[in-house]
Amino acid sequence: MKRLAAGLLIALALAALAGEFLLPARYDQQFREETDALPGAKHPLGTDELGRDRAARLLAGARVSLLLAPAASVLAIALGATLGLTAGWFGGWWDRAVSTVIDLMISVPIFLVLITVRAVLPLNVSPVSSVMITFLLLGLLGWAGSARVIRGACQTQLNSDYVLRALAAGCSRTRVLLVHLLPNLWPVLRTQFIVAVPGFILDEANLSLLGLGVAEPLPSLGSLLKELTNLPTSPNWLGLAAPAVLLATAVGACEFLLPPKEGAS
Amino acid sequence: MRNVLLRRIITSFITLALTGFAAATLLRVAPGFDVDARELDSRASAETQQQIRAERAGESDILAFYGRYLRGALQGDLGQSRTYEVPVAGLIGERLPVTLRLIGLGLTGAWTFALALALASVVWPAVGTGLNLLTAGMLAIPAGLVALLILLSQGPVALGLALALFPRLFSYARGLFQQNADAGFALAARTRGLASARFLGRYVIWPAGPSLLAILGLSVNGAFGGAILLETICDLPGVGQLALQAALARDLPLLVGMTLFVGALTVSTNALAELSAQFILRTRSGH
Amino acid sequence: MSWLLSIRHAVTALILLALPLLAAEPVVLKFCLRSEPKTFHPLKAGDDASETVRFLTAGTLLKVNRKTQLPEPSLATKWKVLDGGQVVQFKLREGIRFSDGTAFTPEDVVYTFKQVAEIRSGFTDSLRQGDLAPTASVTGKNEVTVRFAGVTAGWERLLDGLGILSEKSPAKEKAVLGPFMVAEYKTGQYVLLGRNPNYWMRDAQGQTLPKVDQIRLDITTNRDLEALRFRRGEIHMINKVEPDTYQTLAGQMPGAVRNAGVSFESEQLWFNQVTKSPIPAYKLAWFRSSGFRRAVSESIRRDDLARIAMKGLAVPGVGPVSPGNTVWFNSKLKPHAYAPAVALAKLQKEGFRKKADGLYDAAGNRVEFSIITNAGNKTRERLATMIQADLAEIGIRVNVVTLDFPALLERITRGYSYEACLLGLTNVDQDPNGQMNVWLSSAANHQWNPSQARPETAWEAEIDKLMRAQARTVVLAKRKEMFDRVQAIVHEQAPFLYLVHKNVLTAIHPSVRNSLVTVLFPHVFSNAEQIELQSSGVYRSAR
Repeated sequence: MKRLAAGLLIALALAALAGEFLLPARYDQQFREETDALPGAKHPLGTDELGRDRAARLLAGARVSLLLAPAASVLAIALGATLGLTAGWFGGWWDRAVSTVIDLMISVPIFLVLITVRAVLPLNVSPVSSVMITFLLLGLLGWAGSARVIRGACQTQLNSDYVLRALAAGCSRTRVLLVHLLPNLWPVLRTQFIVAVPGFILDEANLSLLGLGVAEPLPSLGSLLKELTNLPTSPNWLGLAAPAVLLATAVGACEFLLPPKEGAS
Repeated sequence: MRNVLLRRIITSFITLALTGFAAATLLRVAPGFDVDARELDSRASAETQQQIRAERAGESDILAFYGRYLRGALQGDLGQSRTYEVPVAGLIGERLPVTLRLIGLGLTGAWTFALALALASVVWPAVGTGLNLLTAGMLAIPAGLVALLILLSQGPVALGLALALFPRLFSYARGLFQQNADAGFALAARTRGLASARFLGRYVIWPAGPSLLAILGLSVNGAFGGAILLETICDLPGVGQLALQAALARDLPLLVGMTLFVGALTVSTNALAELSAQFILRTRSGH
Repeated sequence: MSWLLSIRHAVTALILLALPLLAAEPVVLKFCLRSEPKTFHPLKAGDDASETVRFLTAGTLLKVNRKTQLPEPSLATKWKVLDGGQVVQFKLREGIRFSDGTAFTPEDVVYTFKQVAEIRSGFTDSLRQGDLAPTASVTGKNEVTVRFAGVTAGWERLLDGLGILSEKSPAKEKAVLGPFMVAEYKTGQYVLLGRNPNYWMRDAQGQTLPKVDQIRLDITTNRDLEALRFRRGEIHMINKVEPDTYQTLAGQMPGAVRNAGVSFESEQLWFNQVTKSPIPAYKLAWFRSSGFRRAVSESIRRDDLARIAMKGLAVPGVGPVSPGNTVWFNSKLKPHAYAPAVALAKLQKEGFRKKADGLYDAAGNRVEFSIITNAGNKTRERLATMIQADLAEIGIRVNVVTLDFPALLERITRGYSYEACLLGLTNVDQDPNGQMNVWLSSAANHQWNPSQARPETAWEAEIDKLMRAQARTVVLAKRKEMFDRVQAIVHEQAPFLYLVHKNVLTAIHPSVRNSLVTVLFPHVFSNAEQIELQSSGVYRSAR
């Protein structure tokens, strides 16, 4: 199973990286006489409404999103883990301050932060920079949930027998934190990563409503997934569903490849 | 204990006030705060344009606005919505039941399935593999599509919300249960032949309590986010729809009102979750 | 005797029970509003939703027939134009009552004009000349004389929008003279219009109008949902169908969609020419050069835009007046033809150089600009993406940025921090006076360079002069001649690059009888009082 998952993931990465050489069409080339084409020999997944090859767009979109979304997730989780761990560990005023900030981050409409950021950014941003900025923002703003969960998990672990025993045995607090506590948080961090990657991929597409996110003509996996809502009226279900299948494969492969607990790999 | 509770309440109120202020400030600095679509009316003269612009002047000093707003809020007056030109309190009150019902049903459904299936996959690993693949698929589907399918099939909107929330909750619950089940003392318990239901309850579910509660607090916010989307797509007149409208129309009083509502929801569910978590921790350190 | 009595009671009881069953269920015509109506005050209405409610509820002195485009008597039975077009004398219909029972008198008309002078809105502005509003006075039995501040061309069309208010009614502007009245309004959900019991008009057979009992206007911003509800028979009409939806509906309910031909609306692109805007000086120089603008325009394949982005439900854009507006369109003008070689020659004449990796200006700056448009509008996003591909062929790099509407509005009306903007003009008035504040260089809606102290270019000065002159001319042919010239200047200078003119696309459920589809707004309910619904049984089976 694991080998299969690894194989799939490697094949995916190769296809995304070499996509341009595999397919005859570029992702932004508009075949204006062949709009909304069904899958065929020339266009394996058909074309979109502007006549662009869906297969080429899928590979280009996968390259953008599958590279950047995990990076943004790691950033968000790292931020969340640092704050959540320290809050749970030190407690007291620091915990209260962090908790307040978390509540604030969760309750305040982040939408407004994003449109303000868009207003400050220049308009002439290349599509690639635009999508990179967006994932960076997602990483920087998306840590609050992680922080809350990790803080909760940290408090549980603090009360567990092994930490109490370690402390009683005279281990330094830092050592307990790094050697005993952190590895035990692995399952939570792992779940967060698996959940955050597709979450960020979809969020990125929604940000195009605010002038953030990927810009035309570059596709992202998220922007392609958004077209899924045309599924009920489009005959090209294969072309529309392919991005979801690809993302599900990638997420599923991660499920199998990431060890369920530390040291098990 | 009383002190802890009191401190908790005070912190909650401070957090809430800060949240409202943050939302008001953000809206003030966001682009398009003082524009009005009527300005594009090609018939409007310069005088009329100026008059339209002057209507927003009262809200541009955000400190003064928020001071006035809080004073009003303490007397139960949340101001007048700019888009709908009716009192915000009435507007939220009228629509709240719809959203609360949606969120309530959606959360109940999602949690029930998530916990039950997470347990099942701990007990039967083969089931777990299948469910992992299923959730991977569900995570890759935009919530917009779920909403659309619900709309097309005229299915219950709460089911849509439950489906949208389920995969994350399941992933977390499964991760936590698995960790507990694999822990040394749990294995020891199993080898000692503890009956399986008791084993699950005592060593798998109970210890996961505090973490699950933290996630529960978050999932309430997630459910509200989902409600915004579902209410908008399925045209359900709840507060979720209202929140989106408020942000898009830069309706300051309405948006601050909505943010305070979400803030209250967050702070109270988190407070509840945390108190329950402490209870669990205490009982455990007791045995 | 007693048992007879009891039978009588029983019969009465039965009849009483049956009565509500016999009483016909109200016939309700249903369609959607796409935004919250901003106001129910007829003089303040400016947005689509408010205009819809105003149209269905307000009574006006005269009505422009949406089909023949000629004025017809309404509250005024006849009128006489005096003083070379500055004064109009109206004879009013007698014995009419407002919806609340208050009698309609000439004083109400006078009062309405007083309100026009007091209330500031796009609509009341359209009645003003300079800053002066028209006045009215009672000049005889059932006679009112309206004096405009100057000769006002197209006054019939303007008065078609003037809802007459009641001076004395305690209900104020809620007392109406139109076929319907607002019965219930639930914010964010619906507006229910009830039949005006005192509506004066009768049909050809002398029957009371309107024919339907109620109109339910559901407020929904979600157009896919609107289409879905139409397919399910939950709403009867869609006043404006998007090209994508039209295509889908045409496949599923071919009998229900109507394409009424080219509308007055257009989608256009313009460059920021505001001198004080924060964009780099060299870019401003490109945008202010008509050669550059024309070159860009001639590098766009408008046929493709109409065929692909608009799904073939539009025609290539020509100018400020759509070919659909047969009265005012300057038929000598053709869309800017796709001619990249000519365009490149024009650019080279202005010092631009085409290199292998793109186009450069004389100073060596790479030609690159951004196009902003409002997010969530699929057709505009497609238009922008196609233009991006077309311009890439002559070496211009375009960045497409979609913004939420208020953010976009702030950029084009406040800081002018944008380079090019793609937007559409909707609800375009048939008469050029409706676009006065677009063409005058001093106006705030002179999008490419608004509120100029004095015209910055000779051609803008000429447009100013022509627009002012035509507004004070009565003879249509003379006005047309002047406005033809305006169109020619705009075509030549290209401050707006007109991309496409959309078709009027509507959908009407088969159960709706007598509806009239018109190019003029409102497209499907201009004769709302005459619209009938086929027996509700049939309708229900359609649900």
